Amino acid sequence: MATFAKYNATRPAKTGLGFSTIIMWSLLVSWPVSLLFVLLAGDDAILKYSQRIFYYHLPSNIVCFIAFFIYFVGAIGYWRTRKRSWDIVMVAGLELGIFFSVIGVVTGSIWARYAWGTFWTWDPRLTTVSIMLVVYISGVMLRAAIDDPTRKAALTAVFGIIGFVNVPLVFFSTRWFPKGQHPLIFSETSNGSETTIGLDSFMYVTLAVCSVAVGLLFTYLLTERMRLGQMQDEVAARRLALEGGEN
Amino acid sequence: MMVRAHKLVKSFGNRPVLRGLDLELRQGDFVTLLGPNGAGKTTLLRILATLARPTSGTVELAGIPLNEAKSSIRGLLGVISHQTFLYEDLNAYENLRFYGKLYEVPNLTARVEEVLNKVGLEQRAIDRVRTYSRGMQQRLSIARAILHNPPILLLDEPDTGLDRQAADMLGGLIRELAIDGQSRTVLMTTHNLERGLAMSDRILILAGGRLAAERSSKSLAPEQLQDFYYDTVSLGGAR
Amino acid sequence: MPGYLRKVWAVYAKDVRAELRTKDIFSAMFVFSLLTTLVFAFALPAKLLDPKEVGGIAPGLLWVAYTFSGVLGLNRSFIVEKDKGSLEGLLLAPADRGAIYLGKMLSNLTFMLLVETLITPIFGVLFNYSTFNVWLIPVVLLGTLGFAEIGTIFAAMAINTRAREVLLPVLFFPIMLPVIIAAANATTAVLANRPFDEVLGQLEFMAVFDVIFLVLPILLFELAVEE
Repeated sequence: MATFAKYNATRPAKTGLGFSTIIMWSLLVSWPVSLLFVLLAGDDAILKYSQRIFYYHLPSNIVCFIAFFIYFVGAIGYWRTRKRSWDIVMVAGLELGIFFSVIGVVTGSIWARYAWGTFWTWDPRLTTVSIMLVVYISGVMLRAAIDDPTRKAALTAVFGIIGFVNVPLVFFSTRWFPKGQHPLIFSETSNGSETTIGLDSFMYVTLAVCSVAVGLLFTYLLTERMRLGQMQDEVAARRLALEGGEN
Repeated sequence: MMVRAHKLVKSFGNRPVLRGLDLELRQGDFVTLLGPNGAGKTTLLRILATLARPTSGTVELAGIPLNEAKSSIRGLLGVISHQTFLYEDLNAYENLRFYGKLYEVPNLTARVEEVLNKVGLEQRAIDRVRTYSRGMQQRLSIARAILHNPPILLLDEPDTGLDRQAADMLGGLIRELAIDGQSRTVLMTTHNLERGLAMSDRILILAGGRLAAERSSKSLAPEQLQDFYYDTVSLGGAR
Repeated sequence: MPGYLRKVWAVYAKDVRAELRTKDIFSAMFVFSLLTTLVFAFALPAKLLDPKEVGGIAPGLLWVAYTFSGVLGLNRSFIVEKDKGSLEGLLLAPADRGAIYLGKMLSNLTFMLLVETLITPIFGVLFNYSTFNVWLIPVVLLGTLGFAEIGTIFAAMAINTRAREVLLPVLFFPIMLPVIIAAANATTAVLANRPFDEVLGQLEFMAVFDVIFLVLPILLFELAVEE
């Protein structure tokens, strides 16, 4: 009991309405709200009920792309400055990009299963996100194989730059993929064998609400991940100082 | 001042190896760096050789700070490591000609001959390096290092893997080439205390990532060296 | 500039000369691509290899063979440098890192093209599928150039990690997917004697890839090898 009291006394006082607290609460509110919207939105004419997963699927894909862009920006930053803080940015972008691309691929796959009966279509966007996922997973393996943090950051940066520049090329090359049955088109017109999603205004609102929810989740995770990275550095530095003192 | 390091810190992540090292070498100095394994000798040499970046601190070669320098500054350095940097399937000529082109050595053919003669390998010049003994490989490595006539030589434990006779011969060769018409600035690391003392003007002892002691070679008799070294190292390591 | 190109050539010539002495890399690549081809020939059901069907699948297999043997060659070219520390010897020289990259990239390209030139007719024979078409040359050239460009910088990176050469395929394959797709597609079209403008799109694509990933690694190589 005594040690617990001592621990409590030395903990820093909890800060009040910080940025991450705001985000967290907005996040916790927005998801049930978005779910409500999704349930209230009307059925899509062609795809019926299964289309609803699209409201989370599309924002996830966009956010995954933003995350990888952040990784890219961090890589350029590290390249120019060799500062450790950019490494934290890179890792956050990398991890979140993988997280959201998995969500994107899984939701896309589920959607395909319920809409057309197959778990996979060679839709350009789905394929691009999947390839990006594989590329960036290999980036994680690259990091895992290096012990020296300086080299780890340097190689992560090289990989990040090459990997991101490659993305538009990947997207472009999907046109030569085996043509799937049902490329998903996000438009208002109907077009023969291609499945299109026509959205009425309530659906647009739903999409917006869900985008906000996903966006908030991303922002929260990003800031927390970066804070985690900084704290890890701080712990290591303090441990180092302690060891130095003992010696 | 040919070589200058100031408050040099190098950490591999959270593991500090060099903890604020200061070093000054004037032109013509022949300095031996001693220290236990893990003291940071190789790390220091790698930083001076521009192969590694310091975590903080400055390094100047011939007055030029490394972080402002272009790649041409490496032309000032000749580096010998316990790795030979030689291509085993090529012969001595080809190895030297290759490095000569990278270092933009003028009159390459003549210079290659000259350098091979200096290290005594002209007879075996057309044999593949794979067939050389360790001692011969180190001699060729020296030839490679002085090919472009660098004013600074960095030698990282060049006597590794050599028997006593070969190491002595190598030592003599290094001393000779260090003078060789122009007084080069030499920084050498070794585990052999006596040889290091005999070859150099000054000895530096690295311990605990810092310079623990510096003595002119004349001020230390060979018998004193061992004790002095162990005393310094155990003190320095405890820091 | 001329000094730069001279150094590129010096690195290239050194690699080629060393390889001519031992033929280690080339023979390993050639044997491996041969074995890969044989495995395909035996493992695939005869129906798929029927002359009418084979044109659909053979080009993809050919590029798989190129890819696997290419990775092998890339790994070996840097293992050589690593073992004797000669990569550091290169880095010690007052040469722009980009020049070293270019020299090694060109030698890797040379070895890969050599192996591909030899294995392609053999592949054609085993699969009963004509690979003799002059328009195949630009396709193979552009595709292999992409392999060499990305492969060289990734091999230099991989060889300095704990996993060493095992890491290269992991890094290499995903990034090269666009090129492999375009190249395999173009190969199918070429060998089916499709009109040229169908192939033009893929060739342009690969050319764009090659240009981008020629410039980028030259700029990034310094970062990739530093400590």
